[in-house]
Amino acid sequence: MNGFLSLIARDLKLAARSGGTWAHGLVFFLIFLSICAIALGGDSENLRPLAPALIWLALLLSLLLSFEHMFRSDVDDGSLEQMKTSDMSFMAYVSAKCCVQWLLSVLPIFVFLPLAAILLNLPVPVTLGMALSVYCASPALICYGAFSAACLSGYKGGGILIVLLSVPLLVPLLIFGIAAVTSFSQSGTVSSEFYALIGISLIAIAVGIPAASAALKTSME
Amino acid sequence: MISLLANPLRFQKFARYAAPIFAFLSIICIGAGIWFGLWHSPADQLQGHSARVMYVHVPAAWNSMMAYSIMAVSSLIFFVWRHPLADELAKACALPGAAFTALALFTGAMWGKTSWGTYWQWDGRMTSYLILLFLFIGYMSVRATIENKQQAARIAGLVAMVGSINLPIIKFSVDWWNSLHQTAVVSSPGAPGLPGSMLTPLLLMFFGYSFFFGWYVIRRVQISIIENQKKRKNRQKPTTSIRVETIE
Repeated sequence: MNGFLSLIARDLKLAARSGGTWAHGLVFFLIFLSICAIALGGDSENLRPLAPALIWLALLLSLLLSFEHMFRSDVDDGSLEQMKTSDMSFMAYVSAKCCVQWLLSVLPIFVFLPLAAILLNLPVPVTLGMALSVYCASPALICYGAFSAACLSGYKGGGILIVLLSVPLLVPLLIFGIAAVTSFSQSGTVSSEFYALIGISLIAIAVGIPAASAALKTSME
Repeated sequence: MISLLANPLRFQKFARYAAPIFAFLSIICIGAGIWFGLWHSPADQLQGHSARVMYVHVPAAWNSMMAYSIMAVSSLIFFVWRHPLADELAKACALPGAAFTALALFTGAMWGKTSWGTYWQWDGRMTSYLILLFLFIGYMSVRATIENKQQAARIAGLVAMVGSINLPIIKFSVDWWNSLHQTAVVSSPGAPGLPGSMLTPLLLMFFGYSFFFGWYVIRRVQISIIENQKKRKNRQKPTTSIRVETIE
């Protein structure tokens, strides 16, 4: 537990010292929504039915951009090899990375969702449903992304391949997430799509983190 | 049976006979399936003769899911027990699986245009089946991209295993969502079933495709075993320029 917490503290400190690099995904999220709104004409009547899909797309794209950097810096400067020779387990390392990624990539999204709602002229129930669906799906988004990043951590030019690997795993989340927002905004209750999102998230944590640690171990041999 | 074939030498002996037999059976079954399917079976009540594309579409879909299952299971065997032949089997399944998936998608789009009026709809079944194609392509590109081939094998095996969650989604997607695609007719308990005259060409084509898949995989694994033997022999060659005459 100590090692796990110290890894989280280390990564958070590194992010704080990185001069704002951790916020790049967030900036992309807001820029993408803005140019979507501009491209679709800016008329709020056009935007409102599309808004859950656009916000989900923005979230997915900003996360896809950030997966590449999850393990890259540790692989490049040799810290990963140091962790392998220490008695830190890879599962703890990957779990710590996933937690930090969630804190830095997903948690600020919740802060900026009201802003996104204003950009796309969303009523409050839809924004609430949006926040709930992102909350339920976020473990799966992070863990599947960590798995794809770990698979390609040894390959330098891996950016687009990480996207290719993670898209098949993230598309069900996209489908269920948008369906969840739509049903929440119509019925006001948490329905089956949210349960599906939670189920996928739990499976992703149970499968993705061990698979990611196995992939990291393999790419270091 | 599987552990009998796990020895490469025994597999080569098996493959010498099995591959031509599989090819022969595949040609017979597909030929008979085409004859029954195009001439000897009744046309559909509602769709007429265009429903005969079912005899190409459905077996391709079944075979692509079988190919992915074999790929995932042999990846698991390779990952846990590090058996190199299991990895060769998984590698061999990727391309025919992707080809069957593409065939099913293409023929499905053709059939959809004539019967539903649209080539494509983003519903659960078709989206998750498209994801299967992306998983096959991702598997092949991971194997191609990573330079160290042992690493590539293990990581691609992980990709195959993690992606296998897609298979139950494909299978049950027509039950979970309202879909243009019809629900299970043949394979589920309580399904309406097909008349024998339509079931015969369907099963013939399915077995024909399966024998074809088996022939391809057996040949591919044979080639991989021979290539690996050659690589090992080349590695053992002396690197000096003195030529040693051996009596063979």
